[in-house]
Amino acid sequence: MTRVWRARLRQALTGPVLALVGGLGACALALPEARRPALLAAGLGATAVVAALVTGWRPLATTALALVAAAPLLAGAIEPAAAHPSRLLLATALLLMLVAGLDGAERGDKGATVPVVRSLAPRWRRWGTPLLAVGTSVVVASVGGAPAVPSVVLVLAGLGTGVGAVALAARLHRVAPERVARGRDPGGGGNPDVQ
Amino acid sequence: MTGPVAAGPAASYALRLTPTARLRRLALVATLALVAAVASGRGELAAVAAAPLVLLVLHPRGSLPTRVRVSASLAPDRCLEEDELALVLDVRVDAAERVEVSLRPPAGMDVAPCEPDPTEAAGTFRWSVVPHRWGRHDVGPLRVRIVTAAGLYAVTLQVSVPRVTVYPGGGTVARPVAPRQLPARLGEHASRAPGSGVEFGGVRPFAPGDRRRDVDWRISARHQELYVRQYAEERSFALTLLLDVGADAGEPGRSTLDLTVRAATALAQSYLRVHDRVGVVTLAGWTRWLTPDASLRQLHRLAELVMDVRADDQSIASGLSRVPRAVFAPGTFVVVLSPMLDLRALEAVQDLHARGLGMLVVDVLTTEPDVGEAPGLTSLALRVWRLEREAVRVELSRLGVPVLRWDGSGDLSGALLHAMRSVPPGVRA
Repeated sequence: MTRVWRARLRQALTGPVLALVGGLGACALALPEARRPALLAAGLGATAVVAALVTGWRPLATTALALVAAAPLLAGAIEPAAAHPSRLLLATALLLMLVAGLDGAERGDKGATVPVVRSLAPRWRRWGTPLLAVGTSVVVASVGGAPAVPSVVLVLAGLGTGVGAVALAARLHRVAPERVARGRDPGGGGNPDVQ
Repeated sequence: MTGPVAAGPAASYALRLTPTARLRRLALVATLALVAAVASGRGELAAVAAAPLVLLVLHPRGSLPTRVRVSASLAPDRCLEEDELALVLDVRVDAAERVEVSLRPPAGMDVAPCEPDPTEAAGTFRWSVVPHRWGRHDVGPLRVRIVTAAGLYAVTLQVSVPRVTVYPGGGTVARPVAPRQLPARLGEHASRAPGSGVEFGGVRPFAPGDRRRDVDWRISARHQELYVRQYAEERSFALTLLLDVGADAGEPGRSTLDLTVRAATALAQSYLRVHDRVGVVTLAGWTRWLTPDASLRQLHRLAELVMDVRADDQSIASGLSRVPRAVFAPGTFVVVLSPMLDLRALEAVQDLHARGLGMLVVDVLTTEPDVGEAPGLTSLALRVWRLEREAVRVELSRLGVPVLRWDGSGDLSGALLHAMRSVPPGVRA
């Protein structure tokens, strides 16, 4: 097998394998506590993942992700044993894997050459952020799972933190009006076709 | 998503990165987890939301690169078949995480990525491009995907690559041979007429006015009389290539059109090198011609004309009636390159024969119609087809025009020598 074909095969298989492992793994996490809603979400999620990989239809992939994510969350919400920090961390990692796998499976221009991929960012920047994200999950899972006396202040603080994080993320990714406008590039050699 | 970007020298473009599906999906997972945590009152479920939220918060839209500098080059922009070209793409963008480049090479062209050079910038991509088929080809466009912010934002650019002109590879004429009778022009072929060339042409008795250095002393001593050496005059002739490109048959790369164009280019190259005048006429669609000329630019003009020849031109041919007489001037030798699949070539040969021109017909058809094992009418049609081709060959033989079957592998010199020397003297003007 030539180098080109090996690269093509690797490119074709990496995304689906990641998606299958992440999707089916996350669904399997809901199985030990076999409650009907979680089972239903897990079954539908697994089916949707396979269907999304076969069809390559992007809305189906997003639906599959929602169903797969719902399975461990429902299981954790219904059954306290399923909300163990280690299982939640595993579910988080598997869900991130599923997101990356679906992303990889959808890309690709059929008929084109194997894409030449170059990483321009240093290694620490590529791996640092995901590790920090998982580390935060560890902290949140540990804090959330710790025994505490229920109080209004604690509930409000947790709620505020969650809503604040969502609001901050939404604000940081909001499209600023001046960035939407397209225009001629002043120094672009007269080519107006810019993205 | 995509947008064309001009190739050529490096130019800077504004970059408009768009959110990827990954961003929306991470937001979806985070929202679902937070809703589940709030609804069920289990804070630990928020752990599932933490990782996506951290990824989203650490890569805000404000930190994205705003400009990209792109350049693409393909060198050289003119080459022969099987030459190796270098395609270089340079992408400079700040804070980008990954650049993915792919392209759709046209048929008959191999494109292979080169190993990255550690001395070059990380955004420099190189490919080795080997064209196997003549013509004008567009390599690309290059599809450049710039991914940034942990895959949350991306943009796809289509970078056009300069068009490459691939000339047909030659090498089918080892020695440019010439007819016996050559028009009186300066050239490099030794003619029968005595003159001031360098090739020995015989001896004759000394006559008043002969140069003393031409005296052959050995023969003069033997005959007790002065003899002088004679030299052949060096002349040239006009060669017109008649390309019948109205049909194309055979596998790509070795089709009749490919063989025709390759033979024409090789013949022109060989004869222009020895300062003969070469012209060309194409019999397909609109009849096009190039008056014979011996200048260095003629090969380039001829190659450019041949580049435009394609069998899919379905215009009605007007024959040779519109071609100027200078193209088929008396003394011109005509090489007809044809698959002999329709009668236009035969009519042209008859027309030229009536004008008294010497000719060689090169039959470039190497395949027969594939009818499989089907019995009955199909095989009958094939037999009729063979008979028609045989009839054309018989008609050409009757005219005294030699026909050479050529599959692109042999040397045409022998057939040309036979055709040029076997034409009856009375026929040639």
